[in-house]
Amino acid sequence: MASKSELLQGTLGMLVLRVLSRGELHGWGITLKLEQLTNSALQVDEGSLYPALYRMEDKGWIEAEWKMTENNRRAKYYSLTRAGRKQLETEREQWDRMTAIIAQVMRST
Amino acid sequence: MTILRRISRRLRHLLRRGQSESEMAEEMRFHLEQRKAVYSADGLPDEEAGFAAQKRFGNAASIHEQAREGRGWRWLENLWKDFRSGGRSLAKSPGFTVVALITLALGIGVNTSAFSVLNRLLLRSLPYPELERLVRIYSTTPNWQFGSISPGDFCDLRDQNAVFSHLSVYGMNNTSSIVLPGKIAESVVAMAVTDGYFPTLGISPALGRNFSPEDRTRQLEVVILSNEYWQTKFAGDPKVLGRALRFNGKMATIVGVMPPVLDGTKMWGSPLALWYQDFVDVNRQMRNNSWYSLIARLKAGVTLSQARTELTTIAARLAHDYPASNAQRGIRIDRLSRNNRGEGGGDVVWLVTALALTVLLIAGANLASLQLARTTGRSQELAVRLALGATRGRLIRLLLTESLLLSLAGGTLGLIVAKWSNAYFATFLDSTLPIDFRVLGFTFVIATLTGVAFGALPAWLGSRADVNAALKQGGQGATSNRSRRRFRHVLVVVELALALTLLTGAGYFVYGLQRILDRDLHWRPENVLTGNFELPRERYGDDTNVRHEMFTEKFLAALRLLPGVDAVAVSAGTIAGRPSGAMIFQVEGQSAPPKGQEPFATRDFVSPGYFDTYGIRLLRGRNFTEHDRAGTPIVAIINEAMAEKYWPGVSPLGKRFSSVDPHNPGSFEVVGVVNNTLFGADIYNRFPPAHFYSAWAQKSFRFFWVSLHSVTDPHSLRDGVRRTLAGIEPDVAIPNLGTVQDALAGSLSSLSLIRRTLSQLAGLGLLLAIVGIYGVIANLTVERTREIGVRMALGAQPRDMVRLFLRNGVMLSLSGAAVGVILSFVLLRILKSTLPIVPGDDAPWVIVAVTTLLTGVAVVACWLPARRATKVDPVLVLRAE
Repeated sequence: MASKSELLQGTLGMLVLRVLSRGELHGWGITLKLEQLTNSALQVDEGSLYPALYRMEDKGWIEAEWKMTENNRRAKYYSLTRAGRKQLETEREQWDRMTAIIAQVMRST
Repeated sequence: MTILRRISRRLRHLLRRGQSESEMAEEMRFHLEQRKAVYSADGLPDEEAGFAAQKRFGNAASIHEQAREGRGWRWLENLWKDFRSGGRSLAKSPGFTVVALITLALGIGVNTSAFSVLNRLLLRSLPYPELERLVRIYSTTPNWQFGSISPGDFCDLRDQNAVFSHLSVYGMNNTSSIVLPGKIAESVVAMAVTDGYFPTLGISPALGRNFSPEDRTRQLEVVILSNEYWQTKFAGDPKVLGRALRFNGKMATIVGVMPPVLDGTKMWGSPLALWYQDFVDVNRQMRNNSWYSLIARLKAGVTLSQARTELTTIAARLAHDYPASNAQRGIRIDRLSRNNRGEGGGDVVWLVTALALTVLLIAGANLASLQLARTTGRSQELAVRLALGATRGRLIRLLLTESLLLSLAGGTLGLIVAKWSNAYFATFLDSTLPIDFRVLGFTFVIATLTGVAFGALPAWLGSRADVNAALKQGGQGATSNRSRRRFRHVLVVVELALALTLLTGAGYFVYGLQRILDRDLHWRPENVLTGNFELPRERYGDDTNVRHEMFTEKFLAALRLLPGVDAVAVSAGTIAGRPSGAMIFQVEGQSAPPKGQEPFATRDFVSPGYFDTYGIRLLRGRNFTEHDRAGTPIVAIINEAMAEKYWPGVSPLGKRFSSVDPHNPGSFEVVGVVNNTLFGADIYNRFPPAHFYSAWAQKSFRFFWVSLHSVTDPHSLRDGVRRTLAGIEPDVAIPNLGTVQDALAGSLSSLSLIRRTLSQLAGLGLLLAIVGIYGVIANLTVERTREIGVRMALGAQPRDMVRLFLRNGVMLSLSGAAVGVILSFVLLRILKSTLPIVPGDDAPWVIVAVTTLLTGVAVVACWLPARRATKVDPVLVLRAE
């Protein structure tokens, strides 16, 4: 297993928004998807996903609905709202700008 | 919109907390199960898979907590929890709760009431649009800032200014009479205004039209009814417009009805019935007599200081053009919205408010000491909470919440108290004192402040419970720790000082008022019936003439025939009120005094029976007789003060003085001297002013005061007087025919009200302070019961113990009294400089009496619990260990 990286402060929300932008998922589903997309390279307490979800729900970026899974279990599905989409765009732009700046600084001699 | 949705979501979470929590748990459980299943599939044994899943998940408890925070409004949930536990805890000590609630209800109640009065008298906004443009205008002299305006000055102001869009005189009277078709004359409250009045207020008639400048130039007799009068007398009939009625002896046409917004104006309890026009221009030449109140509306965009500059210019021009009347005069302008000082009452309301706040402070100190005693009793409970991991902040919050709960409940009860006392005050104020939103807000704020301010220190001290000591001491509770005891000592001192200040302030004021109410007027108010009326102008004219003379003679002769009557008189003013007139004069044969120091005397016009009617003694010379009439030499009867001031050492009889007013010339011969008298309502004058009387028959008016002295109860004469007047002049009614004693009481009623209010406030403060002092000392003593028991077991005598506690109490009382005396002197200095009623250093006994009383009461409050404590059986106390 490759050594794991700590998640950068404040980026979990952005990642969740990104994952949800492809369609609704429950909390466990989001975890799996993140794992899959990062090749399990991220080190994060899985539970901390939930406070982040509630905060984003409170802000109106995502909304939740109880549904049945394929295995006929009750689970809470989250999906992006229009505000959430806008938020994702904003955060993506900020992220791009920030990484560009950091990269520029690091590459300079 | 998102904000709204967010709030509604949060509220949903808050209200359905149970469901929210269980959904949260279910979601996380699902996650854990799935993760465990993954680990199991990897081949981990069941138990280990569970552990691993949990490890991966992180600290579940902390995540739950974070999740709740994410939901927001966590503090609200906590507050609610604290309130409930506070309520339960208060319910467990009903004695404490009841005493605290009563204290708070009284303290907050009187303050709510005082604020209602303030709200009504000083803060309530008037119902006029763009109120900030409304101003009042006064004529000023070097001595008086709030003088009325003369007809001539008004006309010039109206015609020359460029800063007002409208202005008008206004004056209310209750001597107007109305005769509706087929009815007898009825006296009503009416207001005389000019055509600018309603445009100035910015209020249009609900029906019909306004007064117009044409009415003025053609002198049309038209009236506008108040909504109230229209509803009661005409049943709100819209066909009332154009109808005629007899008003003050003339036919007048109703041209309008004002909207309900102008209802509520009252004079001596009777509502305003109508407005009529005052044709000021008729008296345009008159500048020496001023009686008009002025209101004006600033043109849009004109500032107060611009208007002030303009008025100063006009005043200077008037002073230049009419030096005889206007040399010393200026013009003052004030915003209507905050113009209550000149009319008196404002200062007193603030005083009452300040005293009410003192009562609240005393109540608050009581609350603090009660809470402190309670936390001492609960120190074990608090120590246990601390030992179980509650933080100090949490304890303080718990105690503060309880305090807040108490003060809010006390405030609610205070509203009930205020409702009672408002009903009581309202009867004196000619208006209602509603508890509106502003008052409610005030009560809420003051209750919250009280709860926080007086709960903070006890909570802080209470939270310092020493866990070890408290738990070790068993059921006895910790010995009150030193800082707490010291704090309670401070409270006693503060309470005593405040109560002393309150009592002294109120005491001086009450004494000053009493002195006014009890003063010797030097005339006899008993058994005199009096009332005023006016004769219709166009049939009688304004000034002396044969018709006045005939009416007066006929009226007086008829009144003398009434059973029991032994003296009757008419006069221009009433001695039960204020001086009705005054004159600047020159003593003939003496050199003219420098400008501004001309002799000045108040003046009344009376018929010959006046001195007999009021028991005023003729000291020298003669009374007026029926020979003093128009055409005979003009005579005057002066009082002793005038005689001594202007003819010192010589007999004034036969001496002459003359008016310096070119519009009102006259030379008077002094024919008599009577004793000094004081006017009933002229309360600020402690020394009788120079005053003289003119013979009514030599210069009379159409405004009358009639007075009758009778050997029987004067009330029984009322019908007779009314019938007599109706027999001679059916167009006229007398509105307030009553005894002079009632009139005196009426003109002093506001003083009596203030006196009573202050006495009651002071009494309440005293009561609360006594309860507080007694409570603190009793508690300190009870807490030391065991010590007393031990000492007595070791041989101390009960007497020694009482002395020990008494010494403690006396020391505290004396310290409090010392601080209080200092504060009282400061207060007294302030009061004396603002309120002339308050007596000065001539009543030092007030402060001595108050100090003695309060210290005495405090000592008794210490002695009682100390004595009770020594009655305990030492054996029982020690066995209880």
